Amino acid sequence: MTFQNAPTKTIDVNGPPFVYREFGEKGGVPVVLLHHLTAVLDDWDPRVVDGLAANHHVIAFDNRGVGGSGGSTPASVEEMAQDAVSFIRALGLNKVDLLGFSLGGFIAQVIAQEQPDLVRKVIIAGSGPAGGDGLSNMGAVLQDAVAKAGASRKHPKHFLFFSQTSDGQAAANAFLARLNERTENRDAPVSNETIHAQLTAIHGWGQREALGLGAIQHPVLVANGDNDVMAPTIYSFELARGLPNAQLSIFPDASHGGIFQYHDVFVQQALDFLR
Amino acid sequence: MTELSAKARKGATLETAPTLYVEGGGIRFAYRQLGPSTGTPLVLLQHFSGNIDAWDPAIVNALAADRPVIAFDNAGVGRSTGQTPDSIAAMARDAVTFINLLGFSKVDLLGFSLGGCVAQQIAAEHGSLVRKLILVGTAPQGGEEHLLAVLQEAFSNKEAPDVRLPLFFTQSTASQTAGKAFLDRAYARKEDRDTESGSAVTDPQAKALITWCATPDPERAMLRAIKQPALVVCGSNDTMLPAENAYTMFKAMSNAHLVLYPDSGHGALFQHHEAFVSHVRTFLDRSR
Repeated sequence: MTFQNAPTKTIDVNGPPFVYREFGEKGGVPVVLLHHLTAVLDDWDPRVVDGLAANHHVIAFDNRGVGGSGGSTPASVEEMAQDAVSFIRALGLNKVDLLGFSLGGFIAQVIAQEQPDLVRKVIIAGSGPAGGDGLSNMGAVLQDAVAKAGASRKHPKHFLFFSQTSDGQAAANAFLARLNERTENRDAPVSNETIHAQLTAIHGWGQREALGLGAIQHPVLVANGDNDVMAPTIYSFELARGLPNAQLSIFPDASHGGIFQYHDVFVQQALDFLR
Repeated sequence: MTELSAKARKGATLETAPTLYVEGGGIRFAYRQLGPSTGTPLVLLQHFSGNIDAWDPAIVNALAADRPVIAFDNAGVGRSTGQTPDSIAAMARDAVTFINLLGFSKVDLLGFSLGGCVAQQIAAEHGSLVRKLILVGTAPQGGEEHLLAVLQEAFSNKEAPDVRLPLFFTQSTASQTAGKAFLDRAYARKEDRDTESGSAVTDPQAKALITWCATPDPERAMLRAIKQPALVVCGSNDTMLPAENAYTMFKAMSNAHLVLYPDSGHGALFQHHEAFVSHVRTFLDRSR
């Protein structure tokens, strides 16, 4: 089984059904994937998911109100984290590793702080700490990218996830092609209400007081591209310095989608880290 | 393909490989060579005061599993003859002399601390000689250093069995435990150990490192001249050459990866040796 053909399942989480896909080596601690702004299941890079699944049981899901999941998306990262924890517990799991990308990285930090016993190790990619006020700008950056994409017949992710060099744009094309590999049983698209709630949550995260990273004792791997236009890379550096047990990995000539552009290196580093 | 020394025994480790010598430019260089005879050789550039036996066998032996690895003493250090020069530029010239003497036309460089400064100089000035660059616990020209203050404090710690425990590792239990394990590995070789360096080596080396960091390079000219892929590695709490240097180098080079390790000091590579070896291999073995 691969991410391309893993069936989409549902589970009721305090009422509404959440959709998820799971596959990969069972027996160890499963890796739960926490997603980015606007993303549904099919927005995960199959190379990254399959790469992790070589050694780990991997669970990708849509949080409340996202894609095929029921309910309404809440407007704060803290509530999204509570929903994610409810989902994890609904699956009967009491110890997981987390991979949080962007908004998912904010959620991962809250879960590690609020439910420390639930979490073994954390990977935070393309993200930043609470109170990083450059993060509040994400909505404007997204809007700008959508406009540029419209004007140039490209995808917003060409501008958001990858550098504008020829290597960066070649990586963008390759990534977008991988997102289209799955043809059967694709997830439902994200709704405007969800995007609006997520943007409110992200804005709030950038403005709220700092999280007290020093209290998060778990091993953390922080990864990013060197010039992330959505979650400025300096925030990854700050996260790694503020967390007591964090490793940092940053990739050259890369933006928000650094872990996708360098999926081979990232998967190797992640598998080593999760061992 | 380069003709490598016939004296390098197959299956040798850092602890068992014989010390070899090659002479040129008025210097007799001491070195050890491990690993297969094919593949881009990885040349190791050593830290302040360090000799061949200051390298971690766990790292060197693991890297030598799939490429030639060469650890050497630069001019004046350990068993090499000559005078240790007091500038990074001169150390770089000597290192290039050594590499040329072994007949290599293309190498990867792994420079730790002072060795990382030398590696940057070589990569900037001898671009065709260097394929890829690994810079560990080091600083760019104009970077931040606390060499003398940190050395003074480390040497005043009378209880440490080896000055590298306070110098290379943080005070946490995990870091000190890793430090002791590193020292056990570094002391494993009993026969034909390299000789220790005295002030004839460390005085000019200190001057070279301090001058390097005191030489402003606000436009980052040297780093911008480095086009090779680079892997920049540092410990989170390197008190001697802080991690801000790693960030600066990573941002200024056109094709650099940055990796920082947790709860670790100047000796982060020794403390996190398994992750370090894996990161280095992944970096060296990719096509770009």
